[in-house]
Amino acid sequence: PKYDMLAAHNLRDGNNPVIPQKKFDFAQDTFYGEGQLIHVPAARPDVCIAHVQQVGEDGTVKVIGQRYSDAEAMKAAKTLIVVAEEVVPEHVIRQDPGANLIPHYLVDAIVEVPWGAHPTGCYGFYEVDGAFIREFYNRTKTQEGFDEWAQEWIFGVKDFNEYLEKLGFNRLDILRANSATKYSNRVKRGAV
Amino acid sequence: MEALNNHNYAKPGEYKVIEYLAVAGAREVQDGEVVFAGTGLPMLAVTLAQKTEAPKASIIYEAGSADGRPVDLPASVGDARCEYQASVVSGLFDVFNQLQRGSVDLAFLGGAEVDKYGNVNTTVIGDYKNPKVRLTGSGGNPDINSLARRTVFIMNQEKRRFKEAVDYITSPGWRIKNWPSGEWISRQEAYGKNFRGGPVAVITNMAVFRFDEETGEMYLHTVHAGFTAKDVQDNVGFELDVSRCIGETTPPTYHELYLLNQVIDPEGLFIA
Repeated sequence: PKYDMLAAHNLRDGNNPVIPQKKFDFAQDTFYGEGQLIHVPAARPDVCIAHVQQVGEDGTVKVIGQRYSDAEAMKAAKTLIVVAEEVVPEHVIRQDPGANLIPHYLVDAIVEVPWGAHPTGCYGFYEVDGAFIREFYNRTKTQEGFDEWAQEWIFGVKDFNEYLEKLGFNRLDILRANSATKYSNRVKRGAV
Repeated sequence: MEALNNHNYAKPGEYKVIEYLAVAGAREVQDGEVVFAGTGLPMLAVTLAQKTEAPKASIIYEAGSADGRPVDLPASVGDARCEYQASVVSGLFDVFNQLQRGSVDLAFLGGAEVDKYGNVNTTVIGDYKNPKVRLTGSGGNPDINSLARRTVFIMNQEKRRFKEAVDYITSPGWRIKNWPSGEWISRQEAYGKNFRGGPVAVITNMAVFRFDEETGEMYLHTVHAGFTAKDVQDNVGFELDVSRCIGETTPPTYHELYLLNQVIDPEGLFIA
């Protein structure tokens, strides 16, 4: 590891518009006189791929529950691809605009992929698949292990539907969220 | 039902280390406080506090939930369970803004190394540019530690973790190496008008440490049942002030153990 990988590779010369010329910089607080501040440059990603619960046919994005840094990431990227659990008629998603996060004109592409966040979770739809992630972690500690895992779960299935079929109905059904609590009450989580 | 209403102290051997730590953490929470908590022990500690002495304490989890009232213990700060009956759910930007404006009374944090001034390292073991081990990095550690009024660290007690000087200051304690001069200054000096407080306790599997208000130096406050002050000193890499030790860390009550095992974490997420 290097202190500043971009500088170590001479990439902070100002020629690339998405790479800041400094990692950070100092400034003085001239508004409230509270001394030294540190400025950190904003990230300028080319693409954001976001998985959300619902998107309208025209691209209006609704995120249900905690929104982490979704809005910041979606607005920072030049190209925004939204993957959704479900695409709904635009007039339906516009019935409650206060619940929406991103207007349609910021969205470049929408893709309907139910269960698309697996093995992570999707609030209100399904639970994180902890067992799957633990298996991934345990099997991918070596290059050979990773290759074997990737062959099984990425290259060995022809598309996402085959991936879901490989997971199987029972596994997915147990992960499915309860409509009241918004998470699964049936998944085994701890040691008990 | 017997354990539920039994407020006597449990004896050594009747509780696990993690339960002792959760109880010690819970006792740092005052009723009505806003607490920023991470995954695992801090969750157990604050939830236990809410069910005992601090029913009006509110928890913020960093993925963006404010005062959730989970009926099932979240497995992480981003778990859907954090959101159950929450006052507001938002995102990181919002909850860190709340920290910034000074709305958080207490925060629980962890670290790989700590020095006698409470400086914590979660970045690197060895030289920064030639590390022996690269750790996870800062996460929200310095932000939370700088902006909350009080911080409690929960760590493992090992000589190599309690050091005269940490390899890298990720999260500032009571005396800080100023940058770029390298001169050691007090936290109050470094933060100026933005000074709010700082680390008030380090809770480990052996003891609870606190910090002298004048010098900012760590001292031994209580020792967990089954350990002596000497055991603790033997697992601290700097000369530790043990003269202010007031005795044993208050052990869990049977009531608290019941809450932890039967009410808060019956699935055994963290108390296995």
